[in-house]
Amino acid sequence: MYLKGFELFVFAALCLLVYLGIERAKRKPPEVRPFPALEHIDEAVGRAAEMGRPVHFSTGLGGLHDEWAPVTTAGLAIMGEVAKACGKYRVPMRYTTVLSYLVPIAEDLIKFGYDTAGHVELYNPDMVVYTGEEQRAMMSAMMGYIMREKPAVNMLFGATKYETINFLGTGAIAGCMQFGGTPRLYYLPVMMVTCDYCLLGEEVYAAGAAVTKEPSQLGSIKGIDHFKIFVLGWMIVSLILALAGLDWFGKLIKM
Amino acid sequence: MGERVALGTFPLTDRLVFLVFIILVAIPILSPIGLPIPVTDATKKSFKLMDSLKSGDILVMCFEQDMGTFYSGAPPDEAGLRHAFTLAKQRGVKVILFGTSSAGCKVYIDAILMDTKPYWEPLRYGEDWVNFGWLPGFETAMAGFARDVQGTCKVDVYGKRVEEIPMMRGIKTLSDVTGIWYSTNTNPDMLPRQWSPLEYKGLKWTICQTLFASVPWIMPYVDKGSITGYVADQRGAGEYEMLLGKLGMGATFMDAQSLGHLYGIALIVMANVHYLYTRSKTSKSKEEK
Amino acid sequence: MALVLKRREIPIAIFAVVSLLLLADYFTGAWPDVAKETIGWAIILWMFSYVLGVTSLFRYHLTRIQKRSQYWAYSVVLIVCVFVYLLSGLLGGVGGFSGIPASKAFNDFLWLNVLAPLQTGILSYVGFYMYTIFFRGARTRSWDVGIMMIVTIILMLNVAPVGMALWEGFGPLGDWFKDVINTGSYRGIMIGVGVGLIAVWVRAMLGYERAFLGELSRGAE
Repeated sequence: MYLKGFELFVFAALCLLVYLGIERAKRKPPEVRPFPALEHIDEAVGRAAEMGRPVHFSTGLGGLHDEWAPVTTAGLAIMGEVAKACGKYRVPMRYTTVLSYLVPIAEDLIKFGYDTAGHVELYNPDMVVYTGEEQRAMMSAMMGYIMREKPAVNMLFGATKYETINFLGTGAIAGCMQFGGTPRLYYLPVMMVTCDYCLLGEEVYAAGAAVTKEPSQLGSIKGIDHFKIFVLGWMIVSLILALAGLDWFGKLIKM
Repeated sequence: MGERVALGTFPLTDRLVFLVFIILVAIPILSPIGLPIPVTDATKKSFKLMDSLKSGDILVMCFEQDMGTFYSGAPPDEAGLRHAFTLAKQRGVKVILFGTSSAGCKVYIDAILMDTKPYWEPLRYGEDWVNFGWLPGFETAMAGFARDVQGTCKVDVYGKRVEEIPMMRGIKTLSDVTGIWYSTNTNPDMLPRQWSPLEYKGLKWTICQTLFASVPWIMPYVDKGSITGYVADQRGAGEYEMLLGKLGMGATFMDAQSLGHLYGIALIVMANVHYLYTRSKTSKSKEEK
Repeated sequence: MALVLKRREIPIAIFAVVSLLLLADYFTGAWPDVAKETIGWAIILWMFSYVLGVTSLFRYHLTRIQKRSQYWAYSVVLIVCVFVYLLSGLLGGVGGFSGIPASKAFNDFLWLNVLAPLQTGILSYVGFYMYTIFFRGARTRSWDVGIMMIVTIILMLNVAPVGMALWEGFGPLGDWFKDVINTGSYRGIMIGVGVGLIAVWVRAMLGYERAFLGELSRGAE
């Protein structure tokens, strides 16, 4: 047996900060700054209503079973908001997924969105398209749908992989208004170039929390922010100490 | 964004761009130009790590690839395989192959083995090298392999039980493995999470073969030693082949990559020149009004 | 009994026990055999998720065929393909039953000559779309975007051998951007992702995170 002391300390500190953030948020939910990508959803769906074309949404390849679960959750929360806007403007929407367990979750969210807007009769289970567990199948299904139906709005929020380039590239050629957001830095440049509105990096998590307004999500965002301030302070102090020739923090990390 | 003179599905401008791109990439593949390929320190380091293997050392080559990513993953992987099998023949290094991607990594392994057949044919299967095909579970399979090799690799790709494979006797955990060549396109962070030389004392080094665009992603791990070396995509393949002394797909594609990149830069410059000209014309006409 | 099994506390308890066991193994090396066994079970469960995936696929497409939804004929094609690949693998794949060389040849043909080119073809769109993005989206709207364009060009010339043939400086300059600037920003993002994951774990342990239970928050009601 052994003990990774420093790592355990950091892990415990983060858990404590997140817990405290959640508990405080129950009394007074923290505020999240506005995001242009979320603020223009209404305008985009209104555009789709004027053009008489649908809205397409995808959370990409990420699921709820891997380390990208928080991003997919945030993407689904944003989809709920989009579904409400689609219900309000009576616009059909389509959600494409590659994971079978997301189908009932998405159906529920979209139906609830239309119901909240007062137009549950517009909801259709065919709005959720499951292409199988294969990324290439999803890519070709999405590309084919976008080139055939030319949706007015194309949205991709979640843990995306290669499909980002094909999906957003096809949307750009079809003339869709595009929204995107992912914390996967590798695909952010493509999103920034092809999307009209983009959520960068961890803005996706915060946007998901801002949409759901759930105290636990808002509180954990706050706790994470406090932890990052702690890490930033630690880095600055250790840099100063290292420049002064003092290796205290280096020895601490090796505990 | 661009005019919409659409004949069919794609606008005309896009089709012209694609056509020029295809021609520019096809010409150097059919008739190589032979541009020099400078070898970077990163590839030299990875080559030295592989070359440091001695008789009896265990090399694991894990491919988180599939046929969709064949042309980006196969050139460096084939270079690595050629090196590995050469070491197996010359020095008695033992090579274990498997894949973790569920989208067809077994086919990928079959394809790269087809291309490197002259290198593994003289070897004895089961004693010098073994192929476990696809290990289901993705990152969980990697975690399982690290803790219990025999339990995770129960049968090889031909259905033979691991207990009946001579070279697998004595390999219990990742600490019994000397080096790892991990090939991936979009998940390089699984390697330092599950198979880090800092965690497993017997494991001397790991090499990550990944896309050039993923290199910044793994650099923090390379800095700290969680990943020892890396081979970056087709450029890394070309460099590795230069060090091996036998050119293959990687070197062939380098000329195409050079022309392709020059074409991309030309498109960026042209698009910006057009944009700035249009913008200045629009602002001038607004001023005149 | 059925109502007891449907209670939300049971999956949360399973999740809590398993994750604490694995964390104890990671931080202290305690109970390594238990952790090893748990990972083995996880691999088996992973395989069952494929069964779930295929079942969902059948359910979805058979419903579309039954209702004669739009493009239902393609659902028929898909189901036929599933059976063809399944039978081909069972008869001629790894550990195939038939032992007939023709079945192995057919299986190899399906994988290498049908699926592989299809996968490669779809992914090759990536290259074409990147070039579309170059001339459609790469507009220098402001000075910071201009700097980004210049760095992009330097990095493109750093990767391609022709860059170093034109000017040797592209090598060290591109490496500096990659190893210093990019690495620093990736470090920050990785810290963020890791921290976010632990926050999700804390929420799941406290019972707030319901996504893995098949529920999702519906927002403030």
